[in-house]
Amino acid sequence: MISDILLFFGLILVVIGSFGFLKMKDFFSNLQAISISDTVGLFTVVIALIIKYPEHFAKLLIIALLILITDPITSHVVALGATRAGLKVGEKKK
Amino acid sequence: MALTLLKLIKGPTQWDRLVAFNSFSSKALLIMILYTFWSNQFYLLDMIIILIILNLWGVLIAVRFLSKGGKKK
Repeated sequence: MISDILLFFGLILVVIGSFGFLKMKDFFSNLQAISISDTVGLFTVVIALIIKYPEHFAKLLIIALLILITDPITSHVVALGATRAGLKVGEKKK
Repeated sequence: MALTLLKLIKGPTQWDRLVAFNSFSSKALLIMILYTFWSNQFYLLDMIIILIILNLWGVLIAVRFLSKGGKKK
């Protein structure tokens, strides 16, 4: 019951993040929308699977911790590289 | 997933394409996790751990390549 609700909530978060990724005007707000929604969506789905299948607890916990560590690192590195390459905050797309 | 693929094709700059690639592989990971529990093949969880690390590695190398000039240099 709780796991079904959490899984549905995670999938909804991922879909809303993808729409925001297409609709935002700026590169950095784009990046923020997609990275936060992806991290929270995958983490919520993995937590739902932990509640539903407790016999695979250890591997799913490792997957959840890796998602929580690596996804913000990639978004941070992309933002740092884009700033150094000359993209400005608030710049409109052509 | 199709939305990020569309962004990957038409993205205005290279950085947009890089973010779209990262998000696309993340969603492929999500589908793979759900398929693991749908079809009862639990050895796929080990491959998912490896794929998360490979995703981080690929994005880091692409950022390093693009911030040193990319294709235009």
